[in-house]
Amino acid sequence: MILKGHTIKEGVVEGEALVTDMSFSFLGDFDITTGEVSELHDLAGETISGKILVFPAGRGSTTGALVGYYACMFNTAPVGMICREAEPVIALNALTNNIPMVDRLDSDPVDVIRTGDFIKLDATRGEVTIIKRAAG
Amino acid sequence: MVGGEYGPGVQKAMNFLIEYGEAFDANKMVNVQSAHILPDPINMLEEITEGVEEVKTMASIHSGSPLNSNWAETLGLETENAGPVIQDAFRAYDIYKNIGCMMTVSCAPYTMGNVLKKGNVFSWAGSSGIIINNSVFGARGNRDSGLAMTASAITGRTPEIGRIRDEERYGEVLVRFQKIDFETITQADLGAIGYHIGEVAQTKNVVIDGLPNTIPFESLKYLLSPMPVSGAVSMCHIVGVTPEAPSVEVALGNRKPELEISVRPSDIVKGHSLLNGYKSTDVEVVMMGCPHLTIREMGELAKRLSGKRISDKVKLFLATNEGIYNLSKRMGYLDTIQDAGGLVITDSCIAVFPFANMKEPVTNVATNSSRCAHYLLRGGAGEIVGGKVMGTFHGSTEQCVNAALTGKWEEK
Repeated sequence: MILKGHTIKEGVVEGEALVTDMSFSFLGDFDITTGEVSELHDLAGETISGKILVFPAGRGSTTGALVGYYACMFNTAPVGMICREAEPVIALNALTNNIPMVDRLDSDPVDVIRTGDFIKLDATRGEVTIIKRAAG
Repeated sequence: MVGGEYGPGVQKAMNFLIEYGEAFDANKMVNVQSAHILPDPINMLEEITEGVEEVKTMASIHSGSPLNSNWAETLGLETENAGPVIQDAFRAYDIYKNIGCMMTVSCAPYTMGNVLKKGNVFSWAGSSGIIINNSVFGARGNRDSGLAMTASAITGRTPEIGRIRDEERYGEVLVRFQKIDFETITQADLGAIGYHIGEVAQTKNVVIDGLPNTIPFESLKYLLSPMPVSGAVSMCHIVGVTPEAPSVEVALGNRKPELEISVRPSDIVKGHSLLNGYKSTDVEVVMMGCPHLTIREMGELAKRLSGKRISDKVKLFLATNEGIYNLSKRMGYLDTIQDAGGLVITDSCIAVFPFANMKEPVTNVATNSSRCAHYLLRGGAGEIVGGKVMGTFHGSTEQCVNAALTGKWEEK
C-alpha cells in the first residue's frame, strides 16, 4: 500500500512505525537520554528512537528543534516523521536536523498506519509504503 | 543571497528559509522587522554566520538553561558534568553579540525593547512571545524554531506563510465563558483555562469572547502562554483587545467557527488537575517567572514578601531578565525579596530547570505557571540535559508565596 503526500524534508528511510493520535513535542514528551516517551503521553511505555513517528502534528515549545539536535546526537531521535499536517516547530525540527518528513497524505496516516508496521518513507518523492503489516 | 554574493553564511541561511517556505507552500519572502533567537548549536551557528558582520533587523536572545547562566553556582547546581548541551553556550552568546544581537537572554524581550506593533513581521523563538506578539500586539509571525530565527536575523527575510498571511490569521475555534468570575480569578486559573483551550484547539486559531478589556497584560501572559504547550496555538484573538478583533465576526473573518466551546469552572478544575502531581505536601522549591516576571509582578511579589522570611526548608527562585532586574533593584524590590530569603535570577528558563544537577536533591516544586508545571511534570528533555520528573504543585501566586513561607502546599 502506498500513500502519497507532501515533502517537508527530503530523504529516504525504512523502519518500524510508531503511531499516535496525540500531538507530540520534542521537549517534554520524551527523554532524550533513553528515547522513552513520557508517562503522561498516550505513547507512554514506547521508545521513539529509530522509529518512524506517525502523529497528527507538533505541539509545545519552540525549543523542539534544539532538543531534536541533541536527540540525534545521542541516537534517540526518530529516523523519520509523518504528520497529518505539520506545524512549523516540528517541520523546522526535521529541516534543521535532517530528519526525513512528509505530511498531508492522501489518506490519514494516523488511521491507516499501525504501530509495528514496517514502512518505507520516501520523503523526497513524498511517498509512504507499508511494506509489512504488524502481526495481529 | 542564494548566489553567495553576501557570503557563505547568508547563502546557507537563505537556502534554509527557501526550504522552510516550500514546506508550507510560500509564494515569496517578506522582510522581518524583528527576530528573537534561541542560540543554535555552535557548529551550526559558526557555519550560518560565516562572513556575517551584522544582523539585518532588530534581534534579541532567548533565555537558556540556568546551567548556562552566571547563577548556576548560587542556585546550587553541579556544572562539572553538565554534558555537551551547555559547554558552548557562552561562545554562542559572544557570536550573537558580535553581530549585533541584543543580549536580553529572556523569553520576555518585549519588556526590554524588542517590541512589536500591528503589521510588523517577526521571526521569534519562544512560543509564549510568539502568541503574545500575534494576539496582543497584532504583529505577524509563526512558531519558528531551529535555524529559522538566526537565518531570518542575518538575511532580514522570512517566508510568507502561516500567521503572516491574512487568511491564516482568522479564528477557527470560538471560546466563550460560563459562570467565570473575572473579578476574583487568579492568574493560575487563567493558566489552567489556557492549558485547556490549547489542548482543544491544537494548531488552530482561537477567538476568545467575554474577557473584560481592562484585563492587565500579565493576566493575558498567563492565559496565552500555556496554549502552545498543551497544543500549538500561535494566534488567539481576544475580542476587544487584539487589534484585529473589534468583534467576534471580524476575528472569525465573517465565517462560522469550526468549533465552539464554553469554558466552565469545571474546566479550570480539570486544568489544575492536569498540572498538579505530587505525593506529599512538602514544598522544597518555589519557582515563578515563566514567562519572565514583569516589573509589576516583581513589585507585587516584593509587597507580599515584605518583612517576612521564607521557610529555611524552601528555596524561592524568581526568574526575570536584566532589564527588570535592574529596575527592581532601583525600586528596592530586590532588597525586599532577598531579605525575605528569595533569589532573583536572570538569563534562565525555569521550565527546563536542571533539577537532576542540584547538589542537594529536590523532589517537590511549586509554581504559578502552567507552562512551567507542564514541563516539570515531564522532566523537560531528560536527565542528560539536567531534566528530572518533579512532584509539582500548580496554583496562584498567593498559594506559592504561602508555600515558600510555610514549606507546605495548601489547596485553595
